[in-house]
Formats: sequence, structure tokens, C-alpha cells
Amino acid sequence: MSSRIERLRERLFAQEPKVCSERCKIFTQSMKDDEGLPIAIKRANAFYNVLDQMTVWVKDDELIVGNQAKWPKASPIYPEYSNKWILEELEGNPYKLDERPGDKFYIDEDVKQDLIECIDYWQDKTTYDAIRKTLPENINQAWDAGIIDETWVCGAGLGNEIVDYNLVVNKGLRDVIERIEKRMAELDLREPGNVKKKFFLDGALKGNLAVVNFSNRIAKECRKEAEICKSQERKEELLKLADICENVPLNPARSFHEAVQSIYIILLAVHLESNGHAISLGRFDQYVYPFYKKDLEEGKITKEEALEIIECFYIKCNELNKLRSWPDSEFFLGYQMFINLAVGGQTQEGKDATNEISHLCVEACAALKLVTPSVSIKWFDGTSDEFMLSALEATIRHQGGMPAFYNDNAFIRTLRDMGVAEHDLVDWAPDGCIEASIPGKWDFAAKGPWLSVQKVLDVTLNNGYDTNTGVLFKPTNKKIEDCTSTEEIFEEYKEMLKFFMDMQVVTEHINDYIHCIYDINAFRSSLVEDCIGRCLDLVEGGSLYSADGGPTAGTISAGDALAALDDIVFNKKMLTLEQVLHACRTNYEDETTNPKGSEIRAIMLNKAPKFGNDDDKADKWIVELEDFIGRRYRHEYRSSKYGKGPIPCCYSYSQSPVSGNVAFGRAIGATPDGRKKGDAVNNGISPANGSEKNGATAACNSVGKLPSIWFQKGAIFNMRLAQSAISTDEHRRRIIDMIKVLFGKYAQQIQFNVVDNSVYKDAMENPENYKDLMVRVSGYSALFTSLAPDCQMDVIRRAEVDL
Amino acid sequence: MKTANVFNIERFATEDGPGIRTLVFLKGCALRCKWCANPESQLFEKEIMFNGNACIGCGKCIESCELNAVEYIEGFGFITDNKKCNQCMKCIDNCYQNARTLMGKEYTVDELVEEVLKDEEYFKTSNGGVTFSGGEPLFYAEFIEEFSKLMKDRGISVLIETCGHIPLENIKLCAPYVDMIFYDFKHIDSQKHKEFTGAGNEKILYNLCWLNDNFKGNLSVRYPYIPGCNDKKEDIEGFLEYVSRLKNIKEVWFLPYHRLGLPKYQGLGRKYEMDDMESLKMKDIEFLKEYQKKYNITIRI
Repeated sequence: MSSRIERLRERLFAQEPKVCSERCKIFTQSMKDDEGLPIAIKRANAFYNVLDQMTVWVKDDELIVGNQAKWPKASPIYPEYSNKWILEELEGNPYKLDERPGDKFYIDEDVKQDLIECIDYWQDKTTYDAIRKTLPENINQAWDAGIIDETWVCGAGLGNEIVDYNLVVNKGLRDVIERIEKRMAELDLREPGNVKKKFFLDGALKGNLAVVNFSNRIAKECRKEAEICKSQERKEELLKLADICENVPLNPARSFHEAVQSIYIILLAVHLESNGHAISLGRFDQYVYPFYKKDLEEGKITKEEALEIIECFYIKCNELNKLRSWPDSEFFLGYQMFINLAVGGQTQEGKDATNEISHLCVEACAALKLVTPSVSIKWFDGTSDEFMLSALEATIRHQGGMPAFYNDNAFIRTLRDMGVAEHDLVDWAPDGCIEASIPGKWDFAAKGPWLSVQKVLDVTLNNGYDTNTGVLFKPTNKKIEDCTSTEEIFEEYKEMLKFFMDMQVVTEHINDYIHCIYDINAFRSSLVEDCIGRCLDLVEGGSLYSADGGPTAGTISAGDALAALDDIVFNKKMLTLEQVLHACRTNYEDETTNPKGSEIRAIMLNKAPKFGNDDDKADKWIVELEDFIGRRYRHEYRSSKYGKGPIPCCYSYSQSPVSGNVAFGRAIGATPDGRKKGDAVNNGISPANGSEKNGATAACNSVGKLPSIWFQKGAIFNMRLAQSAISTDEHRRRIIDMIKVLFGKYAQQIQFNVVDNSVYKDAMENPENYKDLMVRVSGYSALFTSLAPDCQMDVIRRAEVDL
Repeated sequence: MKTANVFNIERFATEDGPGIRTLVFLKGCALRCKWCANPESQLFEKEIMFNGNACIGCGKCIESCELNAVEYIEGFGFITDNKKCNQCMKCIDNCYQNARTLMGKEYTVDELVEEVLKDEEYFKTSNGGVTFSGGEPLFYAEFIEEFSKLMKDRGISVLIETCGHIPLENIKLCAPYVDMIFYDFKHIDSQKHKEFTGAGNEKILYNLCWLNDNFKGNLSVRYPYIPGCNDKKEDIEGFLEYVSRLKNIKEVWFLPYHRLGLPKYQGLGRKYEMDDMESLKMKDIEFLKEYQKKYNITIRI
């Protein structure tokens, strides 16, 4: 790491996340002034004013410049989406911002006053309020019961877009502006509908000019800094940066440095237009590589300089931040912006697309150990083992599950099935956590209410009641107590799932309707094909591709619960259904029964088959459940954009819960998989904590059985690996071979958590979560949790030398 | 029908041979090494092992045993007297915490083939396969011979970890179908060997020489490095001197002592003779690599 990067990185970590009121104030004033104008124009004017009036700064050492707020890592405020929680949290309800259990923010007194004044104007005018008022009562009840949750989509802007960076670096915003103007000239305003189109194009034009102006302001700031700068070297850097910012993003980039700077400005602008998160970068290595190659050939850049620019860019990505309400934060803990950056994969001709920039992106990820961007390796049959080896090494150095590995074959199969054109398939890229998008052609890679799949089982097993709120959502056809097979219970469960999945889709139609009225973002839309042609925002159906779908949590846990009922109650007859239902309803705490509640829990936990062990007794239930959900989303639902142009406009399955598996778990009662009330459900499609006992290949085989054809919005597979299992090239080659077999089964993704000593120490304290933790010593085998504490310490000490 | 008594199957084993392997532990051994980390592997008969960490002390195991074979022993836990036990499985089924395991399960060749083939794709992609460990797997020579032939037909490699203390005939039977052998070497001095393992080393050395002359596969020797037993300079040098003369030995591995078998001794109601000697760290025996040049042999830790 260069000393510049060390300094920048240190400053980043030293910076505390604050709240900034600039965007909120300027935006609010502008919207007040423009009351009465069409929403596309009003928001574009406000966007222009924000970018024109907010503070811009350039700090020492930076090679990539521009800022989202007054301070690095400060979050701007977007009062137009939701705001009651801001006032409440300022009062300490449930926590003061700087006293939260996680994702703390600090706020100055004057900022607080600014926010209170602005929010006064926005009372009851937000998308969140509009949706809560518009939703049918039973959907609001389902939301309050923790079955579905739309906060992330309607309490903030819509996100998960990858705009066309390829276009930006190669043609510049100049090209976009020209196309907008041309389209305007074509419109005959006497024809019906065309004035609305014109409003959108006006907004798009204003938005593009706003960004060009913003970049020029940053250039000016660079010149100002250069004037007072004492170091000759830095002065030259600043003048060069000024020159760059005056050229891009308006014009095509002339160098690698310009290309990366241009991308950063666009990234900033999209984040400032709205506060949807997961604004991702697509195939970064592909669209910047030609600039690097040219500079290299002309002797204008070295590999080290390119790495430094990429590292500066990564650090700048970590300066972006988003204040979410506390309940929403619980679903997305870790100051996550979900800026995904894809590398590797294949070319249109099916050749290995990995280039030197791919390697540099991986190196920067390993060296900097930052939260964002999420670096994703696109693997296909032609990806070299050498690239995979260096990516795995990076995983060990990063220690936070990055880079993650994605299977081109699986995503391409899914996207082809959904109707994506052949020439677009290889360009798919993960957005946010893992949702597949076609950069520059797709609207929102994820959008829609969360669904708590295990909670729906809880409601089913209580005959349609939510036991927390007492609401009867939908009575089961047959009383669960009277069911005589798992199949019968499963049928009831499916009916209940349909009921809540229908709700998800209705919610999303309402959400889109509200956003069309309140939330037109013409700038970002103008960078996605074919919004200019159709004169439509993304949310109105401007993009080529579109499919809705919010995250789900707990499918594996729910399947485990069915498997446990099947095995223990209906096959082995160790317990009756009544005994298990009673135990669940009393949270496994009724010790007056025989067996006792705690014993019933032990049976359901320890004696029943669980997903992740290559055991069909468990896996078949999960496969059937996943297939039911995925097929229904794909084939039974249409999104609001259906018929307006985008394809396929279905709903789609997502199993990337971030921390939603913990947040949702709180509202779920005890379940037959042995889970107690309030405990977390499984994460993504990873086996539930502690249920995996037959090793990595068995877990892969279980995951490989899942119907990934439905998983357009991704399914996260987290695997824990001991440090020693990944410490040498020989070991890493085994992991790569395992990935190849896993991906041969069309699994979509895998990410590794390398078990370090902190994990072992946690396992000593919480053995129930680490039943699968294997001690690997030659010719010997044991589970870590079976060892006595002093032996466990031996393992920890051994691991330390294996680093 | 040929069967083998299998007490554990570990998939994705990473420390016992090349590629991705499934490690099959066979029960029964003629040696009684003081430091043995798998005491449950020593007897040929099945036995019930208790895991104190999982136990909540409910006593259901005692209640459910009609033969009074389960007893609570202070300092050990709920231990099964395997002489009285008829392996009815009731104490195991009724232990909801899974704190009891029957060590040993009979597999026919076909059953074991079916089990390991769950990972066939991984073996093929990684040039991995199956490793037999134990116990002393070569007591099941006919089983392994038949099993290995079937693996050979599928292009899957078989590796054997042996202590060498078995009739040469058993080795001869399997050798043509086995791809690799990890051969244990515990002490160069036969007296000492007897003291620490219960038998002299003559047969072991003889068998090793035979393999050196006749085995077509990959032969490596593994030396468990046990402080106080075989870690003296003359022990190590004597060992290396000996194996360096055997030209077909590809590699010598030193395995640092660990005491991770301790809870298993407790679970079987047995005393662990190494007491509380701490496990070694890898770096404690790094210095042994220095011998590589002197003996012109590849040494791995």
C-alpha cells in the first residue's frame, strides 16, 4: 500500500459518521419554491440546486474527488421519503442516533435544528406516509406483524440500479444531452400524452446539466486548493484533477484516471438524486480496461499508479453513507451501501474476460479491507485457476467474505429463461448483495417488500393467527391439529404463502403508483436504455428489462421445520403433532409435559434431519418449498410495468437477507426446527446455524439441489472455512475444485468466512451455534465443540501459527 | 459378504492426501500408542462413546438401559461398560442431546462405495479420492482390495494410512490397487517402540522395506513427533538415516503431538496416559526441516 493510500485509509477510519443537513435544506427550499410544477421538473430543479449549492471539498492526497455531504461518511437527509422517525430518534426513541446499538451517527446541534425546520414542511407528504395510508388494512397489519416489510423501498428512494457507465466513459453526458434534445424536438406537444413526456425530458436535461455543473464546481475547488497548496507535487496533482473534472463526465474520458473520476461523479450524483442504496458499478474491469491499456501503451501510467487510483476510488466509495431509520437499519447493519463491483466473467465470444484491472480490483479489495465496494468474481468455465487463486488469497486477507464468487452459467441460464436477449447475457452483473441486473438496461435489480417465509409457517401452524398481534389473517382450510401428514400441513402452508405473496405484489403495485407521483428521478433514468426513447422514468417502465422482488428470509429454516415434523412426528412417531404444536406455542418452555418442553426442543433440533447435510430427508422439503415460491413469483405475478415496454415484468425470488434474518426472527414464534421464539432464521440459502455436520461437500450438494433457475435476485451461500483449510495453494486449489463442482450444479454464488480465532473463542462461549465447526488435524477428527476448554485453547493456539 | 467396521466418515478431508478426499476410519488396531488420538479406533468391537460437552445430565441413558451397562463415573460422566452393553441403541435414541455415539458401523463394500460416491464429482475435479485411516485399516485388507478395485475402475484414487503392524500378506493383497500409502514410523529403537506402542518395530520396518521395493504407488512416511517419547536428536536422526536409504519414499511428514483425543478417552471411561502435556504448535517443529539437506529427503510439517 502506498503511503498516500495508508493516509487516506487512516483518515477514513478516523472519521466518524455524521448527519449533514445541506441536501435536506436546499432540496426542501427548492421544492417549496417550485410547488405546482410537474414532479419530474420539480425534482430535477431541486437536484440541480443541491449540486449547485452544497459544499464541495477536495482533501489532501485525494486522486478521486467529489463529495456526497459536508464531511466524508456523513449522510445527507432525504425528508421526502420518510421523516417521522428522524424526529423521534432525535428525541431518543428508540435510541438517540449516537446511542444506537449499531450503525451510530453523530449530529451537530445546528444540523438538528435544520432538520426539524425542514421536516415541518414534509409532514405527511412523504412516500412512506402515502403508502401507509393507501395500503389495505390487512397489508398494514401484516407489515406490523413482521410478515412483510416495505420500509426499505418506500421509506427511502428506490435503489439497486446499475446505470450505463460504459456509455458515460466512452461517450460522455454530451451524448445523453444530445439524445434528450433530439427526442424533445420529435415531440408534437399537441398530441395526447406528449406534454408528460416533455416534462420528463426537461427533467432529464436539467439533471445532466446539474451533474456537469457539479463537476465544474469540483474543478474550481481543485484550482482554489492548488493556489494555496505549498507542495509543488500536490499543486500539479490538483491542477490535473481540475483539468479532469472540467472534461468529464461531460465528454468521453481521455485517460484511465479520467474514466474512474467520471464514474465516481456519476456514482455520487445518483446517490444525491435519491437515497436508494445498492447503486452498483457493473463490470468495472471491462469498461475501464481499454483506457488503462491505452495509457500503458503510451507510457502514461504504470500498474502501481493504476492500483493507487482504484484504491482511491474504493476509499471514496466508503465515504458515501445513508442514515436509515433504526428499524430499517436492523435489516441492513454495517453502514452498508451495497456498491457491487464485478470483475472477470466472459466476453461476447465466450473468452475469459479477466484482465489486469480485474487483478488490480481484487488486490485493492484485499489490501484495503473495506466494507464497500463488494467485489464479485464472475466465474465461468474459462476462468483461470490462477485468477481464482488470487481471489481466494484476497478472501483470506479481507476476512469479511470478499471477494464473493458468482456463477455465470447459473445466472445466464436464469436470465435467458426470463427473456434477456442473447447479446446482453454475458454482461449481467450482481447488484447490491447479489441481485442480477443487466447494466444500463435494467431498472431496479431488487424492489419489493421483504417476506418472512418462516413467519408465514408460524402463522400457518397457528391456524392463520399472528400470535403476537392476535390478528387472524386467513383461517387455514383444515385445523393444523387435525392434519395427518406433513403433506397436508404443507398444502396449508402453501395456501398461506400465496396469501402473503399476493400481498407483496399488491404492495408493490401501490408502491410503484405512489413513486410515479412523488419520485421521478430523470437523471439516473436518462442513463438507462430506453428511458429517453420512451420518455419514462425507471419506475414508470422506461428500462429494457424489469422484474420486481424483495428479499425473503428463512426459507431454509422453514423447510427444516417441515422436515423435522415429517421425520419426528409422522415417520419416527417420537412425538405427536399436538405435543410439538404445544411446545412451539409455549416456546419449548412448558416443563410440565412429558417429554418436557426443553426435551422436545432437543429432539427437534438434534434428532431431526437438517438442510446442508446432503440428506434428502431434509433437502426434499426445502427443494419443494423453494420451487413453489420461485415458480409462483415467476409465472403467477406481473409487475406494474407489464405492457409498458420492459420485459419480463414478473416478480422474482431473492434470498439475500443481509441482517434481515435476525431482524425478522424477532417476530417469529418458536418453530418445529427447534428454533426458539425471537431467534434468527437461517441466512440466505446457507444451512441454519449449527445444522451442518457432514462437511463442505455435503453442504454444497444440498445447495446444489435447489432450483436456482428461479433465483434471479440471488441466493447467498455463506460457508465457514478454517484458516488451515485455505492456508496453502494446495488447500486453495481444493476450494476452487469444490466451487467448480458446486457451480456445475448451477448454484449461483458462494462466499467464505475464514474462521479466525475470534470465531473459535465465540464457539467456546456459544457452542450451540457451532455444531459444525470441525477440527482438521491429520488422521484425527472431532468437532470443536466436543473438546474440553483446554483442548479448545490448543486448537486456537495452533490456528494462530497457521496464519 | 465382506464388511468393514467403520467408526467415522469425514467428507472434504483436507489433511490426508491430495485433492478433495473422503476419510474413512476403520476400527481396530494392534498397537496401543500412548499418544493415540483416536482411542475409539483401537478395539475391533463397537463401543459407545460419551461426549460430556453435549450432556445436560438428565440421566435418561441410565434409565433406558435395561442391562445396567451405563454408569455415572465421577470425572468421566455417563460411561457405558461395553462388556455389558448389547448395543440396543436405547440410551443413544433417548439422549436428545446426542451426547452418545455408537462407534462402529458395519459397511459392505457396496454400501461404502455408495456413501463415498456422494462426492465423486469432487474427487474427479480435484484428483482426490478416498483415504482409509483408523485404527489400522489394513486389517480389512480384503475389503479394501475389493473396494479399491471398484475405485480404480472409476478413476478415483485410494490412499491408506497404516501403522505397518500387520501381516505382510495384507499389504501384498491391497498394494496393487492402492495409489498412495502414508506409513507411520514411531521409533527407530525397537525397545522404545515396544515401550510406547506395545510392540517392537521389526515387523513394521520389514513391511516398510517391502513396500519400498515393491509398491508402485506413492509412498510417504509420517512420524508423530511426541515430546518425551521420540523427540531426542538420536531418535530423529536415526529415523531419518533409516528412511533416507529407502529410495522410493517420496516425502517424510512430521506430525506435531496434540492432545485432542483427550475427551474421547474420557468418553470411553479410560485414562489418558499423556496427562496434561499441551499440544505442540506447528512452529515448534519447524526446525526439523533443517534436516532436508543432510538426508536429501523432502520433509513436510
